Amino acid sequence: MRRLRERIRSRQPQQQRIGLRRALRHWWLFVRIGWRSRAIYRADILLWALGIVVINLVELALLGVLLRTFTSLGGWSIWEIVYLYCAFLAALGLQQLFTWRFIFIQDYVQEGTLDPLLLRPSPPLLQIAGSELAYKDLAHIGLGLAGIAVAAARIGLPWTPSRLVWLVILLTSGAVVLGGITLALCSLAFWTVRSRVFLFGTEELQELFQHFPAHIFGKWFLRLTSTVLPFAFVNYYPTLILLGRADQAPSPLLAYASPLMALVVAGVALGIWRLGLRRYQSTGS
Amino acid sequence: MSAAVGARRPTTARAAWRSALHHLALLRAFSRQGLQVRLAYRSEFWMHLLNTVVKMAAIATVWRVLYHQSPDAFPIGRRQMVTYAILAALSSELLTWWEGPHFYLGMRIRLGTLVGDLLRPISLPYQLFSIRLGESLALLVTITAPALLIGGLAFGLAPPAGGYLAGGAAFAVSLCLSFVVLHCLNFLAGIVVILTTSVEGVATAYHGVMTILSGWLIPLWFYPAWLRAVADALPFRTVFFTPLSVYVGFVHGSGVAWALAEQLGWTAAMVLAVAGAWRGVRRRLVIQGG
Repeated sequence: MRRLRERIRSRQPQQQRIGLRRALRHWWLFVRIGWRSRAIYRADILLWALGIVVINLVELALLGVLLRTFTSLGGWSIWEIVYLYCAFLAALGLQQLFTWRFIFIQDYVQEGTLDPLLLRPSPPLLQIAGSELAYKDLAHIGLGLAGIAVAAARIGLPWTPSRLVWLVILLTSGAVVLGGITLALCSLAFWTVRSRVFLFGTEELQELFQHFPAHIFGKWFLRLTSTVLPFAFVNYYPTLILLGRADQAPSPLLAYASPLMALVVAGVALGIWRLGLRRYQSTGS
Repeated sequence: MSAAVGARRPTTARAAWRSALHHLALLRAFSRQGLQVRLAYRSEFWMHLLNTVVKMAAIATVWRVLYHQSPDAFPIGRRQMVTYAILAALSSELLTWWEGPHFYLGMRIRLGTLVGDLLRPISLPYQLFSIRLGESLALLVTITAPALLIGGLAFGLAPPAGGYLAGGAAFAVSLCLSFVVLHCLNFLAGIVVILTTSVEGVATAYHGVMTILSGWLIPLWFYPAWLRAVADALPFRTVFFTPLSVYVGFVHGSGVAWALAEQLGWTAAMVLAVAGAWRGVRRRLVIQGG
């Protein structure tokens, strides 16, 4: 057992150093294997995707019911709120599609199933992320993009090339922020064993950002969610930019910092993951 | 299997009494199990409390902002509306339609372990009801009560319409009926899960239906007429809209008795529906694996 552990430890530095092309090839291999192993559940995934569409249409309808009476919330019209909602959906879908397996980090640590991943010549995080894509989240992405398109048309936003580029950048950075928070919280499993619960602890906060323009909850709330729990960068600040409301942010610079913030969050999250991995000792069972 | 259950059916008054005691003992045993499951993990408790408070504060803030924006749109006072929001958020944690019998049944069907539940000499709907009751009592003490205290301190709560005694009692009775109706609806969703063997698809669609037709997030008086008519014709609204509108005084006077009577009618109908549907399904149930 001790020898095995030493081997695991000695391999770690080498694993991190594979080239990007090779990493992508590995990832694609894992994804293909994952796709095959889930073959019998394909109808299930379709039904699930359908459920996602239903549930989000219901929530949008409820927002419609609300704004039918009140016409605006925090100075935002119904279509601006639809945009905000769908920007969250698209970012969430993108994040979930590629990194939903992060919530299983706790199980890898708890059950010791991380060991075989450490023995393979490929970064363990890549193996975890690639072990299965969340195909159901294509529904989130599709619905999100469709909603963004409809809302933009209703608001009268023209799709200039620069706006399109911003959309791609901001959606990606929103997904990276969300993925980073997920990875950081799930990696706490190396210290606490159970970590999924921390991610679930942010559930209502995410709901809140999805549904409502965050400034109605006050300045201190925006401050908190722009720093410690940077959920404001998932969809709120990106939406401010694309709706031409960047001056509404505490500082316009903050809104435009979303891509930078994504890099920071990803860096911190990877740091926590690596720190945890170095600390990891197999359960031995 | 069904013969064994039939043989237990009481024939005399004494047997009926003994059967009732027996059921109560089982209720106690199963709800204790639910309670223990709930209290097992401390970090889960804190995160649940945090989520509940965030949810409550978010919804209450939104209504406060909207009330400030156009007070004339509301049929009830500002404090009442914020109270509606707080009670709605808290009772949606207590009367959850996200976890429950449908997920339990789905999991058991997938694993093929439902046979163990069927072997117990107590009907499965009642088993799950008892477990859920224990879990809900634990939630009431550990989550709802502290969150209510926080909500009351942060936002201020209106007293129940019709006074603490009469109004409070009407609300409590209504909430108990809500609990039964919701359990039946969840169980019926579970039966659909058994028939389709799709947990996520059914649960998600069911979640959507509950969200829009129960009136927990947005009171039904804001709904357009056609949607209001749909909601009125179905039992989902009795889970949240009925107790909440009793509490904030949207229904008052003889309306309260009427609302409770109607809720009682739906409760009876739902219990019968569960009994009938469960009998039908049990006969054609196929347990997979072993």
